[in-house]
Amino acid sequence: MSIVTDTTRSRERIVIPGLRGLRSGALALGSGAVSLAGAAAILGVLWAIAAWQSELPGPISTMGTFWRLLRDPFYDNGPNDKGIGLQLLASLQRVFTGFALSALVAIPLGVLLGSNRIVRRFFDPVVQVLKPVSPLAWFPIGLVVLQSQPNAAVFVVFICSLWPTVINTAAGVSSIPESHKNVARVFQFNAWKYLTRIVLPHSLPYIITGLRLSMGVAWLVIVAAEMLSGSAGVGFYVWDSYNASNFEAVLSAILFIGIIGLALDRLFAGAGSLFSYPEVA
Amino acid sequence: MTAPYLELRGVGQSFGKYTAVAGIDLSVTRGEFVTLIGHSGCGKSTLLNLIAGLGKPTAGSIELDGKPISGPGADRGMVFQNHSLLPWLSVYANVYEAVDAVFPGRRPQEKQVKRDRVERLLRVVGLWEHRDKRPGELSGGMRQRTAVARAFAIVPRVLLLDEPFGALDALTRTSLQDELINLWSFDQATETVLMVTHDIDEAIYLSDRIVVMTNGPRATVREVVQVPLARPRERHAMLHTAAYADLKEHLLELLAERAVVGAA
Ligand SMILES: Nc1ncnc2c1ncn2[C@@H]1O[C@H](COP(=O)(O)OP(=O)(O)OP(=O)(O)O)[C@@H](O)[C@H]1O
Ligand SMILES: [Mg+2]
Repeated sequence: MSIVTDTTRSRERIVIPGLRGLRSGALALGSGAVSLAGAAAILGVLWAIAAWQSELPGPISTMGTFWRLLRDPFYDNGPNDKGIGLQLLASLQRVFTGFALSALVAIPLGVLLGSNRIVRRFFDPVVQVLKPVSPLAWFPIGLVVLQSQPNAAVFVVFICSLWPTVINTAAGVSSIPESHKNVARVFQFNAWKYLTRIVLPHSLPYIITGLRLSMGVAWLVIVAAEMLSGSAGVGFYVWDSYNASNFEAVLSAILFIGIIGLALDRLFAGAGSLFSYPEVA
Repeated sequence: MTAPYLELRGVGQSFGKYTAVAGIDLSVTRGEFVTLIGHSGCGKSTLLNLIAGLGKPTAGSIELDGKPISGPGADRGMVFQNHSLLPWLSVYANVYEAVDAVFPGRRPQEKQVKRDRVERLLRVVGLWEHRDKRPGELSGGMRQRTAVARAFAIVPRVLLLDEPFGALDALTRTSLQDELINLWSFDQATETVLMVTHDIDEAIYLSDRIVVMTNGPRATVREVVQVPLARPRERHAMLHTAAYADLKEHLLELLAERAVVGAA
């Protein structure tokens, strides 16, 4: 994996140690699996005690449902009876749509905020006010603007995943060392070269951290949004199963949500390790 | 070698209440090699940055070729004290991007000229074999050589070198000094060199004149010493001349006196 500025000349390459990054990512995944198994065992015991004391289904019966769902994830018996795989795909599609749109807005906005103190002073209060607004509060706005419940869910994802990327990108851009700026000035870099050879490479690890946090938020928010939007999607599936008193399905869905959330997070963590460079003094 | 090419008149720089340098008068003729020596923190980098156009002096004026310096320009190349390579770019790209920024021609033959120039310079500093390494994978000396190649690559009229060979062992240092002299004579366009160093032998071996600075605050020029040695110089022979011994003695004396002369 390498970013090539000019494919015809290998000498102008920005070299990135791709394999090393991937391998360490895989290692992290391996040791992650071990600690995950330990955590699952402890959780299982607590869960069994909780189930024994309440109406909650226990781990054994839930695992039965989990395996049944996993064995046939893509069946489709009409709008109200779809396999968990299809539900998850519907959610993932919305998450990626909202997330991609938000990245397209958030990264340039973050670069702008990070590079200009006046813009930052103006926008910072706006960000600070909008950031803590609950995703559910955005849902009606999305409905009014987009006139469609599934699209309103995408809108909620879009809005809520803006902030971590904006804030982290701005932090990256505003932390460019003075020495890099001096290089750009002495060697007459124009705006484009400054952006692509200094601002973005320096900020890339920050941007990826922002995207990683945004993706976490997006996945968190989609379940809530889909409970309101009420068409396909894993949020809808949870709510629908609850209404059918199928608590095993609810708990299984929670497991699926957690596992996919973890996988998405690991993906971005791996990407982050590909783009870190030692600062040489 | 007649009219001053670079002229500093009463240059001073304050950082808030602290006045780092004050009342600097210095004129450098075209084609001169001038070194600045002085104790750490006296303001050598500050002065070089001002000439590079990275800041405006808070007092006095700096003129280059009769025009006041208003900002950085392609006529001045610089090797920074921390050499400031971009850590995500290879050695080749670090040099190429600077050349490409200064000569933005997009036509194939123009690009080829730039590539040829980068290749020639990297060969001169002995880094052609290492062109695909990033700064993090280089030794200290290789980084400094990359920075020197980058500064020469933009074909500057004036070269500003801020301790380009600092923190290097004596052996690497002497070979880099010879490389510098080679580059200087190899590139007809780059005539005037201003270099900061802590090494008195280096200053004597390389320069036409040596500017000795007083200590800060309000550091200024203590004395400008002419180096009466003909070029090309032969390092070993030079060490045994009386002129060299006298010069070194005199410079050491100047540096040892800690009196602040320019404070008035
Ligand atoms: N940006 C700045 N803000 C405040 N003070 C500064 C700044 N830059 C330099 N100084 C001060 O100016 C003085 C001169 O610094 P400068 O870096 O020019 O010294 P120098 O002669 O290059 O030292 P050295 O040989 O150690 O590199 C120092 O006292 C330093 O603290
Ligand atoms: Mg210095």
